[in-house]
Amino acid sequence: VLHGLRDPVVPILLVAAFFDGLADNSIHALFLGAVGVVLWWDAVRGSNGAASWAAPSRFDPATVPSSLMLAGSFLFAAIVGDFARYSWPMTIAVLVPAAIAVASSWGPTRGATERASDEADHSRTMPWIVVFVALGLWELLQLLQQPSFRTDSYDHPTISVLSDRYLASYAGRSIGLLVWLCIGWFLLRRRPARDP
Amino acid sequence: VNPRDLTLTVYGAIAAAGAAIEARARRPASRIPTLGAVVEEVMRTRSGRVGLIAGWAWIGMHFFAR
Repeated sequence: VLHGLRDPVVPILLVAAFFDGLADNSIHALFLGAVGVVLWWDAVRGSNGAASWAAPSRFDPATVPSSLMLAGSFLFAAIVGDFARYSWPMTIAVLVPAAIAVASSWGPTRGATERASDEADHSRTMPWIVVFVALGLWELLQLLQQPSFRTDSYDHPTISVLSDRYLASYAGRSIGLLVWLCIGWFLLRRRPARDP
Repeated sequence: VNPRDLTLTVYGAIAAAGAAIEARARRPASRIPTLGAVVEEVMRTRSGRVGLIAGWAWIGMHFFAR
């Protein structure tokens, strides 16, 4: 069972779910926790020699033409941008592409690409690691300087607080959703090819 | 310095550093990978790509969902 925790992604997801739960974000916590637990279970099964339960999904986002995906993203952003933030319609609308993306990222890939390349020189990625760690630490520092986790600070705004004024309008929400979908599309397009 | 200005300046500096690294990575014979190449490396493993996509999904939920 502990084998599954060797991969840092599983504890990161579980810890994130725990703290999201403490912050009363139960849906976020359930989502992250469920992904973490299933990933953990999958790793434990793999260490016991069992084949992954994850069947290849018939939906491969990389096969969808970019023009069609872009048109769909614009339509999604135009419709869903009209929903109020943190409402149930908005929540369901966001959860659908999120769940589809996670599910489609799960399936097996070619054996040669299933593990990170050992020969990769990870020191080359250090500049990127420094940038993302700096961003995370600076964001955390601003969060800890708020009066409370639920009370914003003018002097120490987090990215969420800075975005509030823009996401308050229909145009802002639509652009925000479009950017979010495009980032997801960017990530999924970099998924390695599947088994033939 | 006003604390808010300092906060925003550091956010801007981090964003500028990211843009500078990407520009440097796109130069011929650069040893630094582009952000896309880093993502491709992470996406090689199941846990890497599921974790990355779950992180992206969480960002959408954080900004929009209840």
